[in-house]
Amino acid sequence: MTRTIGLALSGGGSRAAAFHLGCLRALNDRDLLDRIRVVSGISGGSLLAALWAYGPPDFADFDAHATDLLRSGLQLDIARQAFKPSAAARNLTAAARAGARQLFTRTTDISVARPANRTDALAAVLARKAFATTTMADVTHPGLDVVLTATDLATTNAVRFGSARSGCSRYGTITEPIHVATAVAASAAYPALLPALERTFTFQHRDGHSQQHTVLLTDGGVYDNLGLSVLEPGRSPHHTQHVYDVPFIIACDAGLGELALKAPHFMAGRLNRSFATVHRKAQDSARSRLHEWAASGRIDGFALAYLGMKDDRLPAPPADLVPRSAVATYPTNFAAMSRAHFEAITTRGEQLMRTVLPMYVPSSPY
Amino acid sequence: MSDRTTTAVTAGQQLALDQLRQITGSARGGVFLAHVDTAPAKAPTGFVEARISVGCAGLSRAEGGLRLRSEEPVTLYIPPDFPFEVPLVYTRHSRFAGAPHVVWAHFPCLYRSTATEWDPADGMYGFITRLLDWFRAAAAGELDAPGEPLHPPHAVGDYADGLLVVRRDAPAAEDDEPWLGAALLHRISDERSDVVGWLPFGQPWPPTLADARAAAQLPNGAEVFLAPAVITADHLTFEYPDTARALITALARGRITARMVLGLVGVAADHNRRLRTAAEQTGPDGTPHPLAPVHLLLGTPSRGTSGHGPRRTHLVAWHLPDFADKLTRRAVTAYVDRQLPELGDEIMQIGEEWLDTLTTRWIRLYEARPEVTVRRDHHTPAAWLHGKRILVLGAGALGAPAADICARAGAAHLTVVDQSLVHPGIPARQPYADADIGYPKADVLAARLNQIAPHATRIEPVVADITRGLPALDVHSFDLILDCTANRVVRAFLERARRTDPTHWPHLATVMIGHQATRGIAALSPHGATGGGADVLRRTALTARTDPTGALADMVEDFFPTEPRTELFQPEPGCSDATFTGSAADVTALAGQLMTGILHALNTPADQHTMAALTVRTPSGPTDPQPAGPRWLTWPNDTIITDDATGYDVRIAPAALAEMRAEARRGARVRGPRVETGGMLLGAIDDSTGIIYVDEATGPPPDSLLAETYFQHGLDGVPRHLAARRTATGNTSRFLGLWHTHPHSPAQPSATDRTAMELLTLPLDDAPARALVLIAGGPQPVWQKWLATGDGPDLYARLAARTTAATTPPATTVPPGRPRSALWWPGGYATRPTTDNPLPAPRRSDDARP
Repeated sequence: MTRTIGLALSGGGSRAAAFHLGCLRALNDRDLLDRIRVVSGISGGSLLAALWAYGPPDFADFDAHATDLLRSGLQLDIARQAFKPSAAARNLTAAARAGARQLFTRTTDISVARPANRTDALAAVLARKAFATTTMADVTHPGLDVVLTATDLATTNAVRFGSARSGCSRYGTITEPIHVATAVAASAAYPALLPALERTFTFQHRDGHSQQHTVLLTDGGVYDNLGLSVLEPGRSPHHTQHVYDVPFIIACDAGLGELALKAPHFMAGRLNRSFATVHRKAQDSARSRLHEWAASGRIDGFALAYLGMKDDRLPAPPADLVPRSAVATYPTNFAAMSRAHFEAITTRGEQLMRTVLPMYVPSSPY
Repeated sequence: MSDRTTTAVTAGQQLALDQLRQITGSARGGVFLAHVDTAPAKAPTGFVEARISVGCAGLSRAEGGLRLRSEEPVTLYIPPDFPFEVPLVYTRHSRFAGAPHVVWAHFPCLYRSTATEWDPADGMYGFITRLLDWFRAAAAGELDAPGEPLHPPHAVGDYADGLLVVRRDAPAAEDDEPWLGAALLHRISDERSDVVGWLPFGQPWPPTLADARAAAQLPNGAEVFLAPAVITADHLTFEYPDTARALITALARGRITARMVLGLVGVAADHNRRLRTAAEQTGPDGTPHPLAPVHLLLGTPSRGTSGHGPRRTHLVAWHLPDFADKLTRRAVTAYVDRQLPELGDEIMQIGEEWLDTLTTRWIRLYEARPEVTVRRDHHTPAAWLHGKRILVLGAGALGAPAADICARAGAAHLTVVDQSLVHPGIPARQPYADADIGYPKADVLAARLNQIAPHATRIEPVVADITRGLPALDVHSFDLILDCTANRVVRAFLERARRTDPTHWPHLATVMIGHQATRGIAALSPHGATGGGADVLRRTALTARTDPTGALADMVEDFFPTEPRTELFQPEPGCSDATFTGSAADVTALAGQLMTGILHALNTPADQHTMAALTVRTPSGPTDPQPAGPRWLTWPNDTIITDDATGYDVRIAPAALAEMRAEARRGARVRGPRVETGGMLLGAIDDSTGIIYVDEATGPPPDSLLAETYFQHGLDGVPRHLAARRTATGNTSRFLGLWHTHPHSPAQPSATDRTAMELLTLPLDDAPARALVLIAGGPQPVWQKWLATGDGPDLYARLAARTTAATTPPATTVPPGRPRSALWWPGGYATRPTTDNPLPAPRRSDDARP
């Protein structure tokens, strides 16, 4: 089976991860998961992408594992972990030894400059609960590539952690193997919730020379919260390390669309809201890019499942569609999800994906 | 430097001389001007002669390169129209004879195509640069040696006598033995004959005209004759001797004596007489039939290719007018009763006189030999048509240009079917003329197209109604059928014929243009595609209507309007067919675009596409919004099963089957592997073609009941869904029936299914009188394989007529043999079984919903 699909999983915390799990259920039922050439994840999308790509090959096992993780949440663990920075350090250095692949050999990786923060804690929690010492190359689905995107606050460049290679366009390719847990944590460090993750990597520049740079990693969704940039057709290999010319794109967008009208009075609230606005704007433009690519024939087509889609815009919604209103208020953090919330969001994801697939691709073999 | 100047020099020639002096005045150039003659004796009138010498001492010579002297003298002839005409280069010596790109031993050929290679703005600067390049390449042995035929230089004032077109690959001398024989010529006109065959001496030649025509696949009435032909095993030192003696002397070096040549001329002339019966030797008015002209063809091995692959033959030809004249005068008496030896002696006598006294006159020779020519459309999509058999239905705005395209591309055979006559309004946009008015289009078109390539392409007109004429045609003998009728009846007829015909049809392309000739559609049903033109256009309409980007909305409006078009264009009073408005420019542009698209598709490997449709639009003005570019839509083949009740084709679109499979996979994932599921089918029934189209399938509504051996379809959301799809598809896709699964058991209706079929399906207000019952199932390996790989499953279909009113409740409440204790699942996206255990309850559409 040729892999011709690019899958983009947007950011948005556990809400996004649960929504994407539902989407993946629909893709599994449509038997499209084996057709995916590359999965691109942002933030919560990175979490779900990594759980799938590095998780059990059997879908039911993956589903059960992801369900457990999302239901129990990461937040509490992060808090616990954050109060035990020494434990985090122990955890990671132990992981490095176990890997025997020079992971985190330099103590600066645990950050001497600043104390281990809550995002470091997230990385540690992810390592413990999901990914252990798995590195980005260890994809469990042959033929699938993974790209998880974070943003470097120092250079404002995208830093992409990939199964094939990792790096950023400014510094070049990272020569050290990257832990999946680190990549997911970096990609998921949503600025309003989690601090940036500081790491120093050895970058090999395109001209061959190597140099160490410290990057300050935060949520990958700052300018592309859909994760579509990696899948843009016709990208030149001279300008990016990630070129996947996939003729068909499936985008899972856990954004909510228009923000509810409210005027936050407090600084934290305003900050939160401004980040939300940035993400929403980025997401809107990404969606319209998708339409442009298809209209201009640069891709054969795309399917977009959008959590915040207005229900009356679906031409043929399922009779038992979980309404937008039932999921609209769910926050974008990594707290434990109640069964009701989890089922509502996953079911809506599954329903939307199942509904849009035949709608956007009535005749194609995808 | 000695210059002879007169005032007759044109401004252009003066420019050339000025530029030449500039060039030669520069010490670095290595070019020296020796002499200028403004009224040279040997040059064509008006030319200015300039003798220069080119310093070649510094050029490095490679093996195989020309031996050059340190100073190479060259004569330039500058035409009066310089710089709009290119100067000629002449060498007084013949040391370059035989080299590639040296014509007539004395004329180095600098430009293959002056139209593209000669820039008048560069003038003599460009010319001398080119000359220096030529010398450099000559010394380095890099003058490419393509072994291609040469043409004599026209401009030096020699003349041609007649024209010979060589269509058949020429024989080559083998084992150093010359080839002797005759060329079979088809006389096209007084001026032109075509070489259509080669007859070696010593093998039987066609004894009659009919045999000769048959040998060359010429039609009856074609005039044929033989011309002696000699092909040497060796090069001749020069190519265009101007006396017969010089020619024979040259041939003798190739071991061909004068007697052999003249004997061959005589044998050919004699055979030309024998080809005709006594009656054929005089025309209808009693005057003797004019004798065939005497041509002599000479072939030599082409240069430069020896040792690299087969040596192709380079051909020249002479007309021997005086010889023919003498033969003619003797003919009346000479050929009646006399035998060959006597005749030969006499010809030898004439021949010897000819050799000494007569000049040769060469014939212009155009190459059309496949071995030395390259078709101008090679490597284009149209190359697919070469040698193919094409059936063109309709000879109108699209059919006529399409047929023209096929004929020009060298299709072997075209059958053009059209029963209409040329009306006075037709030539406004179709390729017919005033004189054609009143005649059948097919006849007129065939007659015209038969003139394009009479030696390669035959066009057969069929003046008949297509639905009546088609059965008489052997459709399977064609490689491509072009339906250019834009006629629904023809499309439906073809769809049905294609469906009920068990053998595979040729490729079928259906082309249409919009009501203002600004848009076109080509629907392609390649060999082995499940759907014909009607099917592909139906899918095109569905896809265009439901396209979420709306990029094809104009196509929908133009070709698939939901309301019939009211502004019909009736060009002439009376009952003339309503047609579209559009110009010759519009329709030929669309026909060309659609044909190019079709041919591209036919050149694509067969496994990469099945059914396809191309949409094209004509451009608009520079300040108007531009229409979108061409776009292909493609569809993989349907799954076809035969309806149990009617024998109709049930064509299940991959999208519908994919949805059923997704639902079955979801069922296995959520409800367990043995729980049945099902849903609705949307599509249409076409009784005229006997096709049931299954476009879409849906999953079970939330109020359905699912168990291991039972499936009851619910109603929640059904009317809304059907209405939405009716609207979205322009009423093309409607409620068609129900599907359900038999996991791990045969795809055959159970007793319950049979009962349910009679009651038919859903208590909907607008439920049709017939509905399709589709069962997907199969024994465990088949079923599992379908879920895992998509191969299969076993399918059963039956178009059932409803026997009871839609609103009548089912007769039984509990199906016989159903375990009441089974685990019941709701439909929809539920993830858990129902907690209470509902018996399958009768339901009516007017029941209150819980």
